[in-house]
Amino acid sequence: MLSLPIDIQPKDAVKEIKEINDKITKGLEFLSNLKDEDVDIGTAPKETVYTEDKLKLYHYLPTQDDLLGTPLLIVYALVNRYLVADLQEDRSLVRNLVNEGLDTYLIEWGDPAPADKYLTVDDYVNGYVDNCVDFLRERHGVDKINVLGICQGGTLATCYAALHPDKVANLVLTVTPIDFHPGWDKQNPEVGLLFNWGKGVDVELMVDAYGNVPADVLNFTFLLVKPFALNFGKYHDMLDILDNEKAMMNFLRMEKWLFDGPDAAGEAYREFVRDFMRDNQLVKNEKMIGDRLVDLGNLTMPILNCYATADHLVPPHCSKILGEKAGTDDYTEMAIPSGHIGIYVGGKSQKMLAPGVAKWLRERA
Amino acid sequence: MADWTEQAEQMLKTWTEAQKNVWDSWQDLAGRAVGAQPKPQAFAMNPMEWFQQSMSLWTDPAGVARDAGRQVFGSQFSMMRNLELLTRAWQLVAPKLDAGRDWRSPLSGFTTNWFQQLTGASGDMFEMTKDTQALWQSYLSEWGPLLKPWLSSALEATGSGHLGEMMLGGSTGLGRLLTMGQDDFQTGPFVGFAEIPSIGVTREHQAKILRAFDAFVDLRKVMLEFNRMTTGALSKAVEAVMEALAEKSKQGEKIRSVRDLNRLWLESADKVFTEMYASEEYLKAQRELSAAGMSYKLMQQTVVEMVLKGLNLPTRSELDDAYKTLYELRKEVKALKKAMHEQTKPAMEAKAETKPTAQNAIKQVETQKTAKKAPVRKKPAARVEPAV
Repeated sequence: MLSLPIDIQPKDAVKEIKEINDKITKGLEFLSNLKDEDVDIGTAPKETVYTEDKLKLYHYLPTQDDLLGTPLLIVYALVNRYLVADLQEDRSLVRNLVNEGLDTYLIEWGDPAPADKYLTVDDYVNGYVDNCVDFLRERHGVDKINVLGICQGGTLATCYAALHPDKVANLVLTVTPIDFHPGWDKQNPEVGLLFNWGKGVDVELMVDAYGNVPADVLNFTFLLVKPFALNFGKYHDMLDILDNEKAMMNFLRMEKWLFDGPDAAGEAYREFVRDFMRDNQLVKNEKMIGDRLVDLGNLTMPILNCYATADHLVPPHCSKILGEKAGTDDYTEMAIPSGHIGIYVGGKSQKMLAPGVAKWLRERA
Repeated sequence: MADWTEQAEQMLKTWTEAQKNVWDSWQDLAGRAVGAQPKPQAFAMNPMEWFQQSMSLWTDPAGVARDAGRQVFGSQFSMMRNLELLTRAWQLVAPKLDAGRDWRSPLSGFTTNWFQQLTGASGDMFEMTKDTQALWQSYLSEWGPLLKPWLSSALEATGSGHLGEMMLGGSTGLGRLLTMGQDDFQTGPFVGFAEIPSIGVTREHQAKILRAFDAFVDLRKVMLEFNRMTTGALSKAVEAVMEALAEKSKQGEKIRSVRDLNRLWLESADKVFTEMYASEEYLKAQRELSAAGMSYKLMQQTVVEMVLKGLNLPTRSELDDAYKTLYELRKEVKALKKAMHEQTKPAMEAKAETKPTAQNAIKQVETQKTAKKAPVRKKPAARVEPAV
């Protein structure tokens, strides 16, 4: 006869509940005294050196003597905020880059308002990014600068470098999609799921209906990839850390970053989903930006391509394809054992990503 | 050894005791909280809502801490609920499994009911899609007082079976609008609606409302299909847990904590859902749901624009036109500035050769940095315009 394999004794269950409630009591004391501004993210010291419309170009204040002469510009994605690159003091890509002696700049796109709904990928790449690059070339008196792209920002940086190779000394990409058709992995269907969904979305209708695509819609899509783990599981796990203020603050910072994203400018979103995700034009060398073709063969500068080995949003092969397509003779890959977000906030990658990038750039200075 | 019925009953007793313990602890916790609180009797009505209201009062109203607080209660609540679901499911499955009989069909019925109760998505929804009157009521409830005159005219026409009359724009509801008898609009915030007839409640206006209604019906239908798939996946997830439990039972393994059981449930559910997400059937349902949702939103906008025009207020289409002009002008100005900059650049560079410039100053700062231990960078001039 089958016996019930759930052997939770009443006294054990009550004990377990009591333990959880003790944690809740402590956790609530902590939470109830917390203001939203106490959950501080993006704290690396910086100054705004250039603004255009809603864009701000930040310069992170150097901490080292032996600064690399060529500045590094970080191009962030158009979804979510750059703050994941500076989540907290001991988990911060930008702090690590600065501490490695890189003169680091970062573009914050700002929050698109309804009046920004007509911004296109051309406006971002040949407008904003190009203006920031020109500003830095002038500011530092150099012909070329180093560019580092983050996720979708890496795709934009790739397009920029292919269109303006004369202005980019070295191109560094992190978890950057180049091939947007990952195929289905039946054993691990969550791998590349977002791109596979993206192919089927009627983005024309979506942008017509929304104008700018709300951040909540984008967040909801991200959460659906692992609905139970991301909507329930992590909050169940949160019960374990409720009485640990440091761990709770880390948890809250990540929550704040996750759910405090900007809307996406409508036309740029439409173009990105249609041309990049659905038609996969970039990897086919078919993508036009403005009136110019983005030819990956024009990527003749040295390229460092960093990918996360357990990335289910941008599977490694979607990034690594660049090695076959780029025109450069100096192409390097760096594998970081983490997931898509872990590459920026994971403990291990703090010791790998920025030091690896700095070393690679110094070798080419 | 107790048989499966006794074991399951024992588990349910455990669940009930644990549940009571949760409530008691929460009430105790609430008693210790300081400051304003929602009414205590609300606790008995709906503990979850009561605690969520409490969290809003105890914590920063706009903050991430409040959301985390809500999740705290939600997590504990859902853990207990999952324990009850899985125990009851086992109670149903075990004797059939033991006797070598089909257990999946009765389990499917049980879990479908369970989730429908939880989500509020019931069979009534399916019935409603077949009943125009009920759908109209539901549609009307979404629009509130804004379109009441037009919608009530349509409602009355369909209610009395005069769909054709409604489609032609005539009905008693419309007449009431024109006379403005004891209508809510006489005292409500939309008293300006008295002007509406002057723009003409025509066949075209009715058609817009009807098209929005069609889109509303389409959305309900695809939502129903989507919910059916989701509920089916949840049932499969319970099945997967039952299989895992049966396997554990055969191996003589035990789950000894609420959280371990919960983990098993979450992992099984994620696996089943992720597999479903990769299926063609789901992708089709997802595409249809998204398209229907967007279409309805566009139709809503059309109807709202009709109302706004009637009130001589700017519509989204008009704003979009203005945004587009603004966007194009902004681009033109930037291009002109850039062109001007290119023209004046040679002259500025010639000057720079004879005179110290801001650029040179920056370079000097760069050089000085290498000589200092903790350099304080002299702040170069910030720019607030495009590189022109």
